[in-house]
Amino acid sequence: MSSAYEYWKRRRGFILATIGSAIGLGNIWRFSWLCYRNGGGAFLVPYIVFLLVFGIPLMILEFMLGHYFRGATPKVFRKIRENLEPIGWLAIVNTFILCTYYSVVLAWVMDYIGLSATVAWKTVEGVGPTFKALLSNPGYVIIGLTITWLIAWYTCYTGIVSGIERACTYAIPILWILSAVLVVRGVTLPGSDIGINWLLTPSAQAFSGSAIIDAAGQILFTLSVFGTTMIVYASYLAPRSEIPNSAWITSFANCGFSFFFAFATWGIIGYLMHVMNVTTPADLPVPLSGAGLAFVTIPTAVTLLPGAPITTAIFGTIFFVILWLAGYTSLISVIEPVYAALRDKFGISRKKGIALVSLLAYIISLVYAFQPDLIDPVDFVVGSTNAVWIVLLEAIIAGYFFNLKVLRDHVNPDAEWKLGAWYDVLIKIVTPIILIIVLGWGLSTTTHVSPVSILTVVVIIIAATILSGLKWKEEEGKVM
Amino acid sequence: MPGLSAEATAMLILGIILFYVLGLGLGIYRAWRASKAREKS
Repeated sequence: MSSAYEYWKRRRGFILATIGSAIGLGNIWRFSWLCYRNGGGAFLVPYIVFLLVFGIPLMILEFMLGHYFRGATPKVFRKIRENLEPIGWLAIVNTFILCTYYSVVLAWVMDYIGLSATVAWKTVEGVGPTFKALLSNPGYVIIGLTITWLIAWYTCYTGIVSGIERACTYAIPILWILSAVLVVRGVTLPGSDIGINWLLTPSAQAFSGSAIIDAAGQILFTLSVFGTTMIVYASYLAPRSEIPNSAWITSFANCGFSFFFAFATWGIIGYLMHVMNVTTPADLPVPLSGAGLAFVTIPTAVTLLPGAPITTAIFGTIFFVILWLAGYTSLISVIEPVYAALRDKFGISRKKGIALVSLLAYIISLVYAFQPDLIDPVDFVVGSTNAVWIVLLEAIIAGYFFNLKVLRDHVNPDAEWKLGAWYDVLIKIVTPIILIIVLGWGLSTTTHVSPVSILTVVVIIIAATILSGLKWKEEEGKVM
Repeated sequence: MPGLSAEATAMLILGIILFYVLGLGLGIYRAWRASKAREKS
């Protein structure tokens, strides 16, 4: 066990790191599309309600667990009840697999920074073939992947203060500033109001039951509350630290960023509709969400900007730098909890632990560089289904196997707003009900189940079982 | 954006109030107020 425990230098550094973890690719390429698809501005109502009734409470819970128990998820669950440790390892292995394929998407983004700066696709007709060529050229992806992993490894290797805190202290303000540049450009383009009207105008027909499920799912996935990162980040807070208001600020900064960036995306989509002379976004010959939005729609739009190709290079590069910064601060936040779990159990040093995790993840990520088709079925298990399961178990374990009042009493003396008994109701009753509905709806409507998905589940269970079966280095898990 | 519809403008204002005033703004104000109180004590 490492004796010199690390702490964040400043509260601001901790909050920026948690914001960096929460703001990821989904904020940029998923939120605004969900908003458009689910009744425009009407979608904001369930989104905010779910943020308040289970998003922020879950983030507070993860902060409290990490701060109270001082460790990663397996240690936290083991201290609540010894036989719950395997669930902690399920969360850790799940997070490890997430970082393997997430880094590949980040490698594509890194490659696209270079491709945008040189306008490699040259014309609108060249945009699609350029992305296809990237996917079918693993050598090019591996260059981006290697650079991405070297940067991520070095950030975590240098520690909490010198690495993660310093990186996020610079990366998050830069992310907001560059996003502001893109938002201003987006909303001043001809036709931008068409896109923003489609984004915001409330539509009763488009607002349905699935809109409510989408809002709940988006809140869960956007806040990075999947039982690992926020627990470990909060474990590095000094003994007397503020928690509820920090979770509030992190959550609203994250969701506020999604809302803010939507104006860049939909200003640009409106411009495309104007240039291509189509009346609805669905008529556009380009995707409106996901990787397609980033790698096809945005390059298409910037190629058609007034002042191209100089403006194409400038705004295309800015977009992919934003995407890379959002992904990078999320990637380092999923490496750290995997290392922290190994440190807790095996007493491994930061330098060795981060090197081990990064090297192993890098080697596995090479598989996706050669087989990008694997990313979707693995993400369905790791990024969607398991994330819900794990948080559901976390809420049940904290609510029913541990006394939440102990956690509330732990944080309330330093809290800028106090947690009352109402908080227990949100974690013990409201959150599990919402998560069960989200999980049930997701599994009953999915078309993603494949042999790869099933294999992923099997690998996670086997790895978590083996890791939880190994001996603790100092056998101090019960009393630490 | 002069072409923005009244409904879209209303949702824009609602979003700004919810995310930045009552959300992020309130959180930062609470933190600022607490740090001032700590300084005085």
